[in-house]
Amino acid sequence: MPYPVSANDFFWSRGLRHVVLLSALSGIFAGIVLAGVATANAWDPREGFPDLDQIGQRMDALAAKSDYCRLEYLAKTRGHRPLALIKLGTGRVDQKPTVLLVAGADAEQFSSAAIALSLTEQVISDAESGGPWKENLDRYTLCLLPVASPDAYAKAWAAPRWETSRNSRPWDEDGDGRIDEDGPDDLDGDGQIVMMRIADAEGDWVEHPHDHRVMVHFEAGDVGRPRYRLISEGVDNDHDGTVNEDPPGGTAFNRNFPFDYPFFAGDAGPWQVSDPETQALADLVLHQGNIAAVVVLGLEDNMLKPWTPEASAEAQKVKKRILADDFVYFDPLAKFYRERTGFSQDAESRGEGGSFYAWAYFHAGCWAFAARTWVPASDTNQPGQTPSHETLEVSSDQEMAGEDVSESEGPKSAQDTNRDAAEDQQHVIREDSDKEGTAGKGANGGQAGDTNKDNDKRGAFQRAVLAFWESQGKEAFVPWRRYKHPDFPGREVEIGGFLPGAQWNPPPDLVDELAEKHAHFVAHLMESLPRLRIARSSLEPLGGGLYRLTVEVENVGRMPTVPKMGEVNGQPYPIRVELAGEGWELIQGFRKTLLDPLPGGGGRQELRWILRRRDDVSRLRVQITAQSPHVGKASKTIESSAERISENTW
Amino acid sequence: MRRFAFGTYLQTARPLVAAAFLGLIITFPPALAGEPPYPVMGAPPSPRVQATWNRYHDYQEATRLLREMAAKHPRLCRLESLGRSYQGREIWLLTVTERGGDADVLKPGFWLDAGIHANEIQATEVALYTAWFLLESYESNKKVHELLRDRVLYIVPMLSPDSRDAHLHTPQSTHTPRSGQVPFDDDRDGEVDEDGWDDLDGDGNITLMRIADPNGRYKPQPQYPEWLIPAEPDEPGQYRILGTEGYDNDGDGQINEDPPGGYDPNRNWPWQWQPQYVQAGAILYPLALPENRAAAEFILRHPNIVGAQSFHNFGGMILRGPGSEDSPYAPDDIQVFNALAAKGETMLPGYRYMVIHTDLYPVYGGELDWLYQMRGVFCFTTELFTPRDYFGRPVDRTISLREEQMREFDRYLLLGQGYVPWKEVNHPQYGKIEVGGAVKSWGRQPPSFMLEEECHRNMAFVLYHAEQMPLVRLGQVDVQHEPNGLLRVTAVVENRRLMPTRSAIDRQRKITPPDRVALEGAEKVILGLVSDSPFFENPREQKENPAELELEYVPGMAARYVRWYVEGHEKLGISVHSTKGGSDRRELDIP
Repeated sequence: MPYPVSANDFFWSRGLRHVVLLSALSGIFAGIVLAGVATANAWDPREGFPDLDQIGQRMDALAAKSDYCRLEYLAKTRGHRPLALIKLGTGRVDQKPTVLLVAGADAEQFSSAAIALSLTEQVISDAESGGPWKENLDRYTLCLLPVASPDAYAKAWAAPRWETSRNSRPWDEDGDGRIDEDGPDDLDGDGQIVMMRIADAEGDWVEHPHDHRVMVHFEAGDVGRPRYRLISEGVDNDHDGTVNEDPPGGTAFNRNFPFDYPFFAGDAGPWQVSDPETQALADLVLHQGNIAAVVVLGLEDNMLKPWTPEASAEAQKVKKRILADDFVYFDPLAKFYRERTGFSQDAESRGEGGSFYAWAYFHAGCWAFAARTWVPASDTNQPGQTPSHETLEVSSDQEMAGEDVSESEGPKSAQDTNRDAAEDQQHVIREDSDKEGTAGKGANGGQAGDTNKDNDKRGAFQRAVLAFWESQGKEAFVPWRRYKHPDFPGREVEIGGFLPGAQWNPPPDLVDELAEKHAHFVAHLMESLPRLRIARSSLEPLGGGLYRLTVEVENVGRMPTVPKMGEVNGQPYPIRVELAGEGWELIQGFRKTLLDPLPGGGGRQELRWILRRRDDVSRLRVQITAQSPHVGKASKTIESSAERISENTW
Repeated sequence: MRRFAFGTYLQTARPLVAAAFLGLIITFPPALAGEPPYPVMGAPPSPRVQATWNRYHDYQEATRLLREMAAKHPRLCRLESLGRSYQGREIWLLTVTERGGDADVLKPGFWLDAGIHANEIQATEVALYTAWFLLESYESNKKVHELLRDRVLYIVPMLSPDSRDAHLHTPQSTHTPRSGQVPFDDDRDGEVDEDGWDDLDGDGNITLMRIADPNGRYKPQPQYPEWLIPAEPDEPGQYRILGTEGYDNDGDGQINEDPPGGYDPNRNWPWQWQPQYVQAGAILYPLALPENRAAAEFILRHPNIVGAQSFHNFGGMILRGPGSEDSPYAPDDIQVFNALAAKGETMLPGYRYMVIHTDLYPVYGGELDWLYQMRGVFCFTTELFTPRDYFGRPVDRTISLREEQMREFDRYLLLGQGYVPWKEVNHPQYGKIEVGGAVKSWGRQPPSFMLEEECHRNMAFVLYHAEQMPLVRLGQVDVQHEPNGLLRVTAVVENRRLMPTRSAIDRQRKITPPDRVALEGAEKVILGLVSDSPFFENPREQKENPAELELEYVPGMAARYVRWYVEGHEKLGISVHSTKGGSDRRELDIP
């Protein structure tokens, strides 16, 4: 069976492996191996969202229609797809301080591209009708990359449906010399790759005590309850004893950046910034120098559970926590995001190792905000009721009774094919038998749910997702069905789980509202950025044709001119103060001076020069310019007799 | 033959032409005779490519030499470009191996690069010499012949070609340029490479600036008065040192703060790469430099590379990683490094085997760490030219003593060529000052009469290192009839070299696949066993696909033992394939 796309076990490798949701709708399907049936799940979470072609068309239309919008192609991916950047602004957009918004990098969250496009449309329309965005776009440039990983995004649209963030770079993930030879497979032919759970007395997973659909990590208190192993849907295509260990592709965008890079992880690429799309983004940020802040719409987060500083981490040579000096500016923005979106802090998110946003802060010295994009509303947190599991349990036992588990002969125990040391070895087939686990499952599992109070916090996010879709009248997961799996003879294997994408994407009718909230956040961020002013200047005659020029440069924005982290790494350009004019020469000081960073909210620095007037002129005229590509420019002209202030220009 | 041919020609030629040829014969008798009058040890007896190894080759000359080697030895080498440098020069790669047999990538590979720090110019000569010596000795030397038959060498003589020409053809010091020529805004003032060194006296050397100053803290060294040393604490000085030759080109009050480039290409490799605030010179992100990226892409496509040396100068060091304390080497691998380096220390008098982060300084993003940690390669960085070369005295790390030896060497061996005397110039910021000091070709590089020896000794160490790369061979094979018509086939897979087929780090990180031994031609393989011992006391059974047995690796100077029980056969054969250890095949005689 062909499997043109890769495993959703990618997701399990990313810190969300504590909880897994599996549907077990009812006992109706129990014990029956079905193929090609997708009865209750005809709904497709992709419905109503644009594919790559449609995104391209919308971008072209925007650029054709509005003077605020232009497109630029940054690179071509390995899959020969263009990496298209929207630039919103007026005048010389490349020379203004810029906020960069990146979406469509975590392709299983395909809705972020649509949200970025809607945000673009809203911003343009607001600016064109003279709204507050008009001033923002006069002062700043907003760059948007709706699809940061086009090859991965294309996979999200391919069949069978499947969650992945990997691009199309061939990669021998298990290091066996064969490339992409064992990815997931749509075993039941329902057009999507979901999960498999295998009854196993040593499995790492159990059902949530109060919601049998939610699989949670086994803990000591779960002793006696049936245990499972969880792997993505598929077979051991290359007969090496491991299932789905080398899926097609590839590099995941948010695993390929140099900060805290996850060396040897299967989705991290051969090295940092190895692929055209990541290299193009790194070059854009580093070479242009005018990017003040990045906002990433994705599955990462540093605002719901906000970044916090830590003294001992700050003392380390390699910085891995936000610096305390930056936190005071960062935190109010994170708080604004939480309040504006109302997203629950329970939302689970991906780690920051290798991510674009963390790199942007720690290495490129930009302010960086990882926006989780969509989290199901928290008031639907507790599911009203959970479908009964009892019928299934009985059926399971009956089904299993016919087979001698102890003689099961699966593929051999395989070596660790997973390159990420932190990952669980979920897909290794084990041959040890598990009579107790399967036999005892029904009774124990059921009882636990009946007797305890519902205070098990595990799986809160998944339960909220589940409840959200129920409130929408939709079923978010595939019916749970028994499957006679060739690699696990004599074992109970069930296929089921979330519809690909259902955990990460809102219904399409929420897109505009989410875009509006995120646009509001970006506007608020822009309003907080540093801004320069020549606060005070004087030209005092000292006698003998000598003058003392004193200038005070002020940052009237809320945020400092350079994040502390950027200062540490020397990355963003400092403010450069230059003198121009005629009729004088400098006898102390230089025409070009670089300033130390100015704190937010009125940080100032005074500069002094001594000038000598040329004999043939009677008045001095000096033009002072202070500027930095990511902050902007302020200038003033001063004359020896009377000071004349020119307009600040941007 | 040749002499006869010329004789024939002379008989038929006109007298004038004949006289001219006679003149040639008289002037260059050995060359025309084809045989040297006396067999000098070390040198290839009759090289097809004429080359001189007591001088330095610039990019063009090196290119010409490489092209000539490729043209005259098409059966032994292939010249290709890994890509273009920032300024558009080719990054040459010479693949040296006997061609016609196994494809290159099936032989254990040795990577040799040089000149990543382009001012360290003799590195390139070592690389060129190594290629030349191998090609010219293949026919006459058995060891070289076997090496090129069984192994492949990938030689990159100029990994930073732009800066090689910058060093050779523009005013520089012996220390510059270490960077490549990709523009970099060192002082973050928004202007790029706007304030580099300036050759104030126009002599092609960037030296020091000084000004006579009764309040300065320097004085002439009594024995070598051109050399300035600090005055005693209670002694008045005579000079102020004003830094490296140059002026404030951009009017910002600083001198030479933003020269061309401004990064370190050998801090730009992926393993443990850290940004500028942790590792100076790291530049923007790993492999941001086109030259490094081209080399890394090639190495990634060649998993057969198992040994490597990267040539630098100076100090006489055989360096291994790790560059930083957070990624120690695997103990099994350290044993191999130690054994190789011990031989290196013998072959390279005055060179010391050292570990970078403990014996030298911390390095993040060094090339050899990447080669070892991410490709599993046994790799050294060789720092050429040891101070022991001056007078054979024991190496002293004290800088002042070293400087004294250099001055002494200059006086007696270089006859004063090594230093420019102080000379008055007009400086736009400082007024009348003096410039003087070491010429750019003295300090880190051996003089002409030592260069050839440095090339040869280091080439010899490379050959030893390459010879000790793993080489899998099928040893004894035993076939026995068993009851019920079964056949038992037992084979020994040997590696009679120092290095294992996969380094411990390679195995740990699954960088290359396991070795594989396949039994071909059997109708059915019933059982497949792998053992570390010839007696199979505790073998591992491979249930999946027993006809192709996986060996995790074959250690150095050791063997692995495989056994099959098979049913039905016509002709049987065994093949062994190791990504880094080569391959072997044998047809079996069935009794």
